[in-house]
Amino acid sequence: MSDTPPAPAPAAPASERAPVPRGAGLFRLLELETIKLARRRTFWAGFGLLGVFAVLVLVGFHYAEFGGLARTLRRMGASADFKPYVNGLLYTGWATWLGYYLLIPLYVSVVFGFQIAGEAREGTLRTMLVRPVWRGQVLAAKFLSGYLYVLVLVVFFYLFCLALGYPFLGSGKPGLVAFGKTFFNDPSHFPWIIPEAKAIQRMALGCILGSLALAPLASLALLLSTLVETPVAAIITAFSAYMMSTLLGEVEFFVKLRPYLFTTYTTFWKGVFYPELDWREMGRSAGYCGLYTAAFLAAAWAAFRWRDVRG
Amino acid sequence: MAAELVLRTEKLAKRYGRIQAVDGVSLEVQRGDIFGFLGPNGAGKTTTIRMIVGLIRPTAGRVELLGRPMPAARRTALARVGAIVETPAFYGFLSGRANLELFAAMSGGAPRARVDRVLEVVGLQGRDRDLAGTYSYGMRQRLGIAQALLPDPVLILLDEPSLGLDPRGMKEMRDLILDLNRVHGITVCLSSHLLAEVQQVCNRIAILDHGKLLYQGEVGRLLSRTESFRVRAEPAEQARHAVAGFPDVAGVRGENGVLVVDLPADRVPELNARLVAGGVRVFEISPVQASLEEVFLQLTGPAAADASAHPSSLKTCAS
Repeated sequence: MSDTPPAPAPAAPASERAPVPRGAGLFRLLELETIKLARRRTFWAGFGLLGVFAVLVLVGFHYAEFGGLARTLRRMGASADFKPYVNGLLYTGWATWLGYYLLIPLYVSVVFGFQIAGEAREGTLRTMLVRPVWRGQVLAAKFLSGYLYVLVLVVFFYLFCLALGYPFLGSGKPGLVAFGKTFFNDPSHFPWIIPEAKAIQRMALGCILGSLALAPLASLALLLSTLVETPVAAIITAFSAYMMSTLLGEVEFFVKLRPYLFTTYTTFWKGVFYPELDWREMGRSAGYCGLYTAAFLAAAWAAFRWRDVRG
Repeated sequence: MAAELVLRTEKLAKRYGRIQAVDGVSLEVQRGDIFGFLGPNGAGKTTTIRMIVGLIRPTAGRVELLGRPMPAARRTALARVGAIVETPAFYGFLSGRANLELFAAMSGGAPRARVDRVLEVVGLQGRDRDLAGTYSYGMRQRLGIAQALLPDPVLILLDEPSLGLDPRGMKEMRDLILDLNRVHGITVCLSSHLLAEVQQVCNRIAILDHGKLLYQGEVGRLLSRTESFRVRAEPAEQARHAVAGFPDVAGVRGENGVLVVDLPADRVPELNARLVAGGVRVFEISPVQASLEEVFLQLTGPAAADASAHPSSLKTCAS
């Protein structure tokens, strides 16, 4: 072993080096985050899970005894039988309606809960943050890439349901039975039928509005992801908060709490399945969703900006 | 002309609740250095490095990286700095090359030739298309260095680069660090608790313990700060008596017919004069060169812990 310390290297003239590069901007980061997300198994697992769910709902539809339900509704005042309208459109509407209750929010919690805490856990967050990138842009890129994923997932779910529903359930009588609150609001007009062409437009609108309605949950999961060290903690907490808010909102005793629960406003997209679109009400709820999202994102930015990256 | 500083910290401190992880550390790394950052586990090395690169916010103090304040100017400063903090972490589902391209893109992009070049420097050609998740620990360390080299850095910070490597891997890592410094002109700042590694590759070091800086300066200067001297003289017994009776001598012991005398360095000429005047023939008086391990243990051992309550007794030496 030599005890002689090595001679220091001669200083390299600045002129011999390449010009100082600028760090990646938001769009480049968004592209990189999207590539990373698309290469993870979690990405494809979401499609797989929703695909399986769609098939299960289809099997349920195929074997469902709608006759009994139709007779009950008639007794309760429905003006006509809805059974001829059990078709691919109704199946798609119901499957997506059900998917938005549990599976899609669960996936939103997983994707956004992982975004920061997951990378911190894997150690890649520190590798990323020693590069000349701005933390605000990293957070924005992670939010937007996650959102892009959610949008693709929702579009896939709608298209997959339509592709399954039409061949297996047929088109029946063309048109979509408006569902949701319609029967209880006005039983004598049940079933309201939305013409087929309009129903397809409504579904496309449902895709967009349904995705927007997930923004408060997505931003809450991202906020939690900046606060905790493990992704599982962020995912479970975000999803629990969603479930808690949903359940409390359903219980009549807690009616006074409803205006403060974020899930009160995240169901506005379901208005696309009502007979007439109530743009005013949908716009109001969307506005509240925007406020919750902005508040959660601002908190996430503050937390991420000051976060000590120790993992 | 004063050496150009590529890294400077001033009274850097970090507190976690009641724990003072780093306590007033002032470092200076000059361009061209291979700077060793030594300390036992838990001394605060990694926390200091994290503060330097902006991963952690200091409780107090300042950091200047390439003359720019951190974290205010982190984007400009980090554009010319490569770093590995703790174990290099990569996306296991991407190939080594794809990982490099991804991190290069975050730094503003690097041409394909640059990626090829850094893979060649770290010796990972031929394995670059394999998934990073299949890499051995040593390969991940190499990929980490490749990633750090991508932005054509002026300075690279390596946190425990040899940790977990086998002896061959450690030797290769040392050679690589020397090569980066001598051939590529990159200033290297590495943290380690492997004293032999630091002694072999570093020209300047800082020693940290319990979050406090105990020494900063040249390795050679630290090792020669000994206060023990080897005295070879005849007649031996007469020399021993003369030395033992000399004021300020803290201890005398014989090793292989040679006396080892503990004495302040500025008293050596007078001891020599006393021996000669007493008729002793003096053949040699030379400082006993301590190993870095001995000095390190002396500085960070239990005695040093007691002494840290009285900082003046620790000879912190600014270069």
